[in-house]
Amino acid sequence: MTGVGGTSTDLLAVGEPQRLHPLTMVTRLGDVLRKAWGAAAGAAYLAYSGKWWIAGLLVAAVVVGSALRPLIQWLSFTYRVGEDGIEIASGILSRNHRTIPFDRVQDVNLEQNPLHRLLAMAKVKLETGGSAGGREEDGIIDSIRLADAGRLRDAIRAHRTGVRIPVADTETPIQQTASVYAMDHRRVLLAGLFNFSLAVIGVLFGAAQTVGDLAGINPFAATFWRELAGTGAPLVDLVLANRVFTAIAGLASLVLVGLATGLVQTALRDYGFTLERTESGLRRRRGLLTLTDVVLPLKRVQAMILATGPIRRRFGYAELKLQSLARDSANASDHVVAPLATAREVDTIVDAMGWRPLDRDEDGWHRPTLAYLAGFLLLGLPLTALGLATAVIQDNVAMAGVIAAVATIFTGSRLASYLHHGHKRDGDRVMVRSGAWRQRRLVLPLDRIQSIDLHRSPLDRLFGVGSMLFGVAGGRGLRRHAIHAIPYRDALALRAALVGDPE
Amino acid sequence: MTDTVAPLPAAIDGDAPRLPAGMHPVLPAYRWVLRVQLLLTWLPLTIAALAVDNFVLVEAPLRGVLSVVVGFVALAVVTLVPRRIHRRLGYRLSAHTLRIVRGWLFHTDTLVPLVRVQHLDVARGPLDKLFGTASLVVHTAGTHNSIVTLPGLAPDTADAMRSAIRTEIRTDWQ
Repeated sequence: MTGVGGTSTDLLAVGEPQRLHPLTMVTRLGDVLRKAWGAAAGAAYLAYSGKWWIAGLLVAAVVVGSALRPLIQWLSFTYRVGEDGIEIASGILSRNHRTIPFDRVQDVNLEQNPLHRLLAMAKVKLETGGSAGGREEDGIIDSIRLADAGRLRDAIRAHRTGVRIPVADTETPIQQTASVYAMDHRRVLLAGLFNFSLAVIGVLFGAAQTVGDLAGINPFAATFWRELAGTGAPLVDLVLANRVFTAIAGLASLVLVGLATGLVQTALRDYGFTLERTESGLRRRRGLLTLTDVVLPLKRVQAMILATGPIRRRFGYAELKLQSLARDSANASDHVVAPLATAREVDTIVDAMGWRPLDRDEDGWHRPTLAYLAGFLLLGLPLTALGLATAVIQDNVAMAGVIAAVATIFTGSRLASYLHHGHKRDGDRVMVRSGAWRQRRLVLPLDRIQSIDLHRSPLDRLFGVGSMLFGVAGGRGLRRHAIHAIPYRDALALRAALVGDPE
Repeated sequence: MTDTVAPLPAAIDGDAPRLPAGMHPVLPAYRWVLRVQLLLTWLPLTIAALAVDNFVLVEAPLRGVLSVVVGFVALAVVTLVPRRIHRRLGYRLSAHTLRIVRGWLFHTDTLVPLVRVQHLDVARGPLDKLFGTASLVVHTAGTHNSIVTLPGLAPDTADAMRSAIRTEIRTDWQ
């Protein structure tokens, strides 16, 4: 038993239940205050309606509760690091003991919000990825001292790679890390510019048109700019008389807001982005205010996704994501390992992962058949014709215009995705490209395919085609990896080849 | 396991399985499982239609049409659909893969490499026990299509398939 437990006797002793950092009671106050908002509103309402004593009672209860809650939580939560697993005991009335074997921990992630950083603490998230459909992480230790968190992580990692920490050697880092990819300030700025979101602009435009006038901030109205510029300047009045100017000024301000939103979002998330190769995987650190430190074991990687947008593509940048058994965060399932990387940087990361270089040859893609369009048009054209006919009969020009525009947009995007969709076998991997505006390229190792479905709808049958759907672990159920509208015979042959089973 | 009773040409015999070469059909008893299942779905609908006709639409001009239509559809579904599902449902367990085909209008052809199987169930519901069938349920780690069900097997066959697949299971991420 020269194992993990023996090494760090004071902190990670086997059998010693550990408590969280006492200051957790302080860092959790934010949560408590957030929860107390409802009570505060209630108290204000009661006080307003004259029920002073009930309001007072409510406030007193909330104050006592808020003060006691973190204490009780702190007292009730213990964790115990064992030889090959961790036990977490929590709960007050219904006690819950959870045991997580180190073998099953897929990710050990550290997260530090600004307060944590100030107090040298960290929130540890252990993910087992086991629960299908489970929305919450399996083991959260919120929060312990940063040094302890790092040591816990090292212990788990060492356990997995089979390396035992030598007793005398606790202070030196076990991991030999090598930087694989990093974003400097310029790159973060650039990524922010590319994150310029049309959606934000759309929402703002809508808001400006609907409630903007009431709120007095409609940048498409001359009065808005007149007030800004100060009244009485004849030149300003002259310029503002021209509606084209207000339109341009409005648009420009929306674009600026969209740019700023993208910049701020990106800077908060990706500031100081570094990716390192550790013994077992990739370690990613990023964040401006809230730091996250995520280790992604390479054995858990199921697929690689390269995504680019229309402008980013022009400059040769792409986003590299890895689909893994674990989830990156609550609202992103794939792990971003490079938000904005050149082809060469992507190659470096791929190489560091121990994967074969990506096949960047633009030839040899198998394209979908025209059934991809025909099936769509066969349904879409009669609908459009019907809609247009109705509009004409009703003599409704606006409706006809809208229908024509919608039909054109849908057909155009379908045509574009038809032109870009394709698949290609690359040795022991299969690549699928999809999307036209935001293009995605999936690189799926054959030994990560869990199942393959071939689907044929009645229309597919008519055209003699089928779709191939890949069952891949991890990721989200919504986005499915699929190859559409390939000849059914080819699909059968491809599937047999991919699975290595010539039926 | 094929129907050896019917020497009729496949075009005439509605019960003859219509499957890709090499696929095995499931037990004919599965048709009865389906019949009872469909009956259990459609009988309440028919009763509801009758109730609506007799209590709600008493004054309606076309009273009775709803019951007739729903009843007719229910009858057609219960009598015709099970054999159509049955003759298009087939499986094949090869050395490394399990393949299951089903359906004609919306055809699905699933292939599961046996090394990817996470765990296996052999399930028998009340109807299965009544008609002597069992379902083999194969769980994979995939997010899409992680549960593949093959109904209508003889319990012995299901058990044999389970043992055969079990020997192939191994985890390849630690």
